Amino acid sequence: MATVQIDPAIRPAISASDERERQRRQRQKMLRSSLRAYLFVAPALIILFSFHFVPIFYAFFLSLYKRISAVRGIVPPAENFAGFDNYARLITDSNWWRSFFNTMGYAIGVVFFGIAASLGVALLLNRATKGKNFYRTAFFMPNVTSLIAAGAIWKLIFATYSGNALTKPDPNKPGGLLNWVFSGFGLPMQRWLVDDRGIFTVIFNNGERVDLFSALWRIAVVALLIAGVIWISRNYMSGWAGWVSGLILTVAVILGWSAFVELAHAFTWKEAFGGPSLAMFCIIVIAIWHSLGFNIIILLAGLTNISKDLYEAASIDGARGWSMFSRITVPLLSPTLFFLLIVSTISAFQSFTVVYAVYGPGPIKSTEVLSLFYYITAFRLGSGQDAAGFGYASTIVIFMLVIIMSLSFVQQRVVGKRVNYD
Amino acid sequence: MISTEKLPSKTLNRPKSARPDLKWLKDLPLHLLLVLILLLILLPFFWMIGTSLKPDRDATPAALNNVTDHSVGTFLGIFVPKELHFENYANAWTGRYNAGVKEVSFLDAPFTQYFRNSIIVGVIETLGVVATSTLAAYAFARMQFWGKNLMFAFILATLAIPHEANYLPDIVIVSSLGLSGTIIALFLPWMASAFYIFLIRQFFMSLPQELYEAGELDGLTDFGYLWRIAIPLSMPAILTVALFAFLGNWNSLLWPLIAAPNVPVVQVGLSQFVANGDTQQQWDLLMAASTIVILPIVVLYFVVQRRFIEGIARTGIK
Repeated sequence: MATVQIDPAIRPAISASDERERQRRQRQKMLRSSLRAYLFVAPALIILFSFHFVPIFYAFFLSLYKRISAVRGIVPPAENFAGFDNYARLITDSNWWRSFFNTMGYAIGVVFFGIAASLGVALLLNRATKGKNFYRTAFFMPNVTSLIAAGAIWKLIFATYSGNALTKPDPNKPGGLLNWVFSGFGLPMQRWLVDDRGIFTVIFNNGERVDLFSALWRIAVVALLIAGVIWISRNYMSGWAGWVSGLILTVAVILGWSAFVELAHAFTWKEAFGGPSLAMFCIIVIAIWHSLGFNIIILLAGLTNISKDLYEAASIDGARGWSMFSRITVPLLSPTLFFLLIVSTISAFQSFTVVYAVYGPGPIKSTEVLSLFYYITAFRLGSGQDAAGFGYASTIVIFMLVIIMSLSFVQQRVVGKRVNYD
Repeated sequence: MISTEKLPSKTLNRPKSARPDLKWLKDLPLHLLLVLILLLILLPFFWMIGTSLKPDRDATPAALNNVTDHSVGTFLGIFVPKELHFENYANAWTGRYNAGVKEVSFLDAPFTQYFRNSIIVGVIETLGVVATSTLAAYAFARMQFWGKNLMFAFILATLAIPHEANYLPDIVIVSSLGLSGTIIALFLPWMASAFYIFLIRQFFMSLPQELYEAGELDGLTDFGYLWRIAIPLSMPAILTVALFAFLGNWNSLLWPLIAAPNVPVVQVGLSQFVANGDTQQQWDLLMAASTIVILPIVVLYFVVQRRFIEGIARTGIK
């Protein structure tokens, strides 16, 4: 296929008719090769076009109708045309908003804690000289197992003895494995997967007696804050000045935190302010467990790509653990981190199976995510006046599409250039 | 390309040890920590396998009420079944979760059905998606044709569309084709994938141009070149695509659930097993069923784990 460039000086003169003849032959050749190529691309293009591309526009078309179902044919009857009624219904539907915020809580939890946890493990793995491959393989195992099976296992681990949201857990009857461990440590047992209360409500206990569980949470938060303070003061100040200012800051943070806790007690953490529910928190744990291996592999590939010379040069310049991490690892890993951020956010917005695995088609209120809401609207809403909710469900699809496509767009714009696929 | 070769050992800001024999000792705390995390990650699997072999009365959460001693030894002990009930697997396979369910032969057992459906759908879809993607990828990598850039832009555009958005309109399209509730509906829409076309095209483009020219000189047609030279040389990429296609199919739930619930594939079958009121009490059977579903894919994964992990590290496939 390589075209040979002939120097015009030695190219023989071509007459006009020769030139036309040559062009005609070239066009014919192109036509033949085009026809052959169309045979090659046709199967893929036909399927992509009819099942992936057209459906998007068709979903928009369907969203303009109400009371339609699959059995009534491609074009719904004209009397069911509803204009933008479905969109109006969507933005006034409190169920939709609830599942939207549930999904947001889920996405934030999965993305933030998921990436943080996998970054920690990846950094540890990167230090290991031997057995890296073994660990990578083993950590990835949850990712290949089906979420339905995994959900069943986790359901057994999170089980409560009563399995009933209304019954308070009996300290003598732990139920699942986790509650058994909790009771072993003297922690109050939780109703994990059936607890609709927001995670802040659980932590702050709304002014009731502080139990060990929420106390542990608070201690973890305080520890994190202190670690942050020390890190900041070590990074920006050197010598004893760093330690002294760190100490002062720590005291300030603890005082501030206690003031915050006092205020938090006065405030009732209800509804949206309660944060994602404890049940959603458990779902997030399952989702992170499932996606950890994927994140680790991607991060490890990114870490492996960072040249060791940089670290060596930095260590000659006197850089130590933390400053090396923050000045070399994080900046150089940022394309990978951003890629993970977008990919996990997109898959968090699509997640369906993890909730379905635990609750089946009927989740509790606080764990109903967008995909599940859409599934229930389209296929489960019994025989109400909107028995076949395909029109309304299409509206939900369009909204999900807008969210996910804009995330993909950001990804392509910002990291598309920096992540290479070959 | 992201290099996946092993790096030289970590020698940073550590003085060269005078006693190299003890070097592994330095890594020991690290490995202990990693193994601890790993055990924690794999703990659900141990719990699943342990529970699947327990007798029914030990498998229910209520059984833990009687374990009042909270030492580490007891904790490890509750993972180990006191008696091994391998018949749980047979009962789960044949769906005998209570005495009321009548006995069925192996061929009529629910899980035989689920596995058959899943394998049929998985194999057809995998072969189909590999075939269409390879053909299209070849055309985009090597052939000249009118509208090439436009078509490729179209493929890149479909890359951004999430599958979830397609499900509902696809249901209408599939049912208007008269395929709803048939096994064809399960694989037909997924017989082509923009991402796989993109991946294989990248691989084809990395093959040296000289090979193609040599093939042309020898009178190979495009298809001949693709079949005899390009595919054998791109086997790693194509096998990776096939693996991910099959795995994705095996683990898919939502599409089979809405497109053809009457043709239960493995995940749909298992989710019905979970939802079944009778089995809620029979955790041993449920865990046995989960093990049955997980096992083939885990075995497959361990056979080809290298390819799997490198495929992910290189492409970010999910």
